[in-house]
Amino acid sequence: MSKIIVDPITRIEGHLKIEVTTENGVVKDAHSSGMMFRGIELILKGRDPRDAQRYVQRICGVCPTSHSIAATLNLDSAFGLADKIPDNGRIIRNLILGAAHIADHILHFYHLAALDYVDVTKVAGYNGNDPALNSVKEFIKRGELAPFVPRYEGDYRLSDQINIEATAHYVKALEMRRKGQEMLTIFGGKMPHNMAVVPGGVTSTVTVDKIASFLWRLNELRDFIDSVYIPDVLAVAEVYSDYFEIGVGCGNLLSYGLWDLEGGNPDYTNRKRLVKQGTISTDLKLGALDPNKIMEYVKHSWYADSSTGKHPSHGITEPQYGKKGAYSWSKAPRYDGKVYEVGPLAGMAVTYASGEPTVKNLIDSVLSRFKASPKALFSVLGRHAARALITKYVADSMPGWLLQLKPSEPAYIDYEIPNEAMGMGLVDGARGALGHWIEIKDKKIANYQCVVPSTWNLCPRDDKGQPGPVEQALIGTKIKDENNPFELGRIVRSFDPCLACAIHVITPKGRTLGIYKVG
Amino acid sequence: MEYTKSAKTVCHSEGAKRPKTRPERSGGTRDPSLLLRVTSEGSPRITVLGIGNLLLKDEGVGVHLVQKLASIVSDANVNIIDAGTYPDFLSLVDDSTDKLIIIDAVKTGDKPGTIYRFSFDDVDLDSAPPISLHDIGVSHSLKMMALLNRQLKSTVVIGIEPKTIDFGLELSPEVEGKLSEIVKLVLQEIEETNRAMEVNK
Repeated sequence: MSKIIVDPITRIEGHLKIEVTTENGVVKDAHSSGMMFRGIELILKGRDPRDAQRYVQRICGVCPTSHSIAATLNLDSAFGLADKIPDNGRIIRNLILGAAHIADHILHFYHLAALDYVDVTKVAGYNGNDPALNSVKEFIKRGELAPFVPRYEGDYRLSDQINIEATAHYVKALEMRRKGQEMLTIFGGKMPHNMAVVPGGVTSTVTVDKIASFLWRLNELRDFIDSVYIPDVLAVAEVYSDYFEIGVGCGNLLSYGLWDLEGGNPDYTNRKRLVKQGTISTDLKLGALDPNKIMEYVKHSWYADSSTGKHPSHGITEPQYGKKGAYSWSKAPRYDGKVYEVGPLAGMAVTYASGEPTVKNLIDSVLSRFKASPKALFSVLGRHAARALITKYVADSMPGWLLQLKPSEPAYIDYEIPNEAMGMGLVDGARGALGHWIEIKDKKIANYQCVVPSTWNLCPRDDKGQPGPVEQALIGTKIKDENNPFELGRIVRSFDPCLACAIHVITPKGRTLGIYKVG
Repeated sequence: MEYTKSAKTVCHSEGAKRPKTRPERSGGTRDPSLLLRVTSEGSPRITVLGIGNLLLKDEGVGVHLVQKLASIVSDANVNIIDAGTYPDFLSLVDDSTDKLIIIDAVKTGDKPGTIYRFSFDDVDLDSAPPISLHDIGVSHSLKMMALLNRQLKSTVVIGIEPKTIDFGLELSPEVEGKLSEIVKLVLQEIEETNRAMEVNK
């Protein structure tokens, strides 16, 4: 029996440690440890409830937009506004969240995950005129391989030509991400940490030139998604098709849904959304979403045992670092007592099983190409494919939303903060189910809790000892070479883990910066 | 993020063929696009980028500072950006930027509130362990800009030694007490850039 520790897992957001034990080359056990403590709940207590939307965005530099939407839905519900948001406000929120998802999924595939499959070093043999590829070639020549390393060696299967093309797309994707961010700022005001999404609607106005400016960027992104992103995911799937059977995981998926298509229904769990709410398991049976079934457990997390088994609306954040038997800063959320995976795969699988025709066509066309059954979606490649397809699904829906905007009409409704209220905001962020809960007393925040997607996916064991989704996805995996456990990186990164809120201090090593002291 | 001061000077934007010096005031070698822009506007484009997490006390000092600067600086040629903890923050910088001023917490173990001023050429970005996009934001962002052949002409980092990095919104008194001094320093930086780079006026 031997032990492999990957700490930190690179090319993800934030700090994650994965520890697996292997026997005869097979993973027998796995432990996933979120190494960063998130203390936002402690900061918000006693503040004006409207502050929540501003501060929670700062939890994360990568998914601030999803947090701004979840917080705002949460405040809308607490303020009694959930069914009163003007259509312009609802649609602009959808456009802002759509732009964020597109940029984020492109970032994940090209800049975090693709390097597990694409061998960038092949660009050394490139002999063409593409300035970007020649820049990469120069980097390689000088031995400057970051940001393409570190990586595990031994299993790069794409042809030289595809490796080179994919590298050119890596560079192109940098530009596309930027386009997505620009698109977001048209209505969001700024990126990161948009200023537009507020309780009651949005602060931005609708103008014809904003719509036009959004549309031409969107068209360029749609072109990239159709002619580059999706073909690249399929090209990877073609030669790594064994990854349709690797990293299966817990077999249960949970989606809060996203992109509200109606505003009159105050219930987030069953209002009409582009990507639907619900649960689904490997038998493809759908379940309705019931947020009362969510509980968080802390037996194996660095929090006081007295806070275990709570619904997030009554959640307690009481850190107790070094607690015996604990190995993570992440709590273990469970739905109906069972382990659930979240992410684009969950949303797309739920929408697929509900029979939505566009999504059904998209997924069936991929599955038939690989002669695979829907069960194959529960895998490393299933997650990548679902992420690419959700990107296309929303990007193709957005032009229609732009046409529904009405330039002369309001995007915001005024409100009063109640003395006492409870609220809940549910939405799928780029990495999956994101829930915010608030309790207001004397017009101030009495309690605020977030259950974020990576808490679901990367959580440790619960009080019953059930391993989390990533832990389950790792257990049983065959490792070809324990010195290069590329299988582990591929499985973990397929979940798009984000444990951000990273500390951003510059810490120069080696010689002191004392000579640059100016004050 | 971490970077290392090394004995050798490393310039990561070489791949982008960035001009070592500002084009001469006269003469035929000036980049024509630059000439057009400068003559039409007269002033260099300056971007001030504040980096940090506002929720982690002194760690967020860069963001505190740009928020303060935004209410003071109204020059049309100065763009002030609150980059928060956005991992790829250099993608937020406009292509036409002539001078980039980054404000961030810098931890060397010196007295809290110590102020540093250095350029990327003074630190070795490559020897930092690539932990995540967050941790290597600066070096990766620079490389990615180079891959896109985007030219970053001049960059300076104004760093502040933090005291407390922990959940909370307020700055420590040691850092708080230095804010106006740092603001003055940035204003001076803007002033000098204006003077050094202004052409055709």
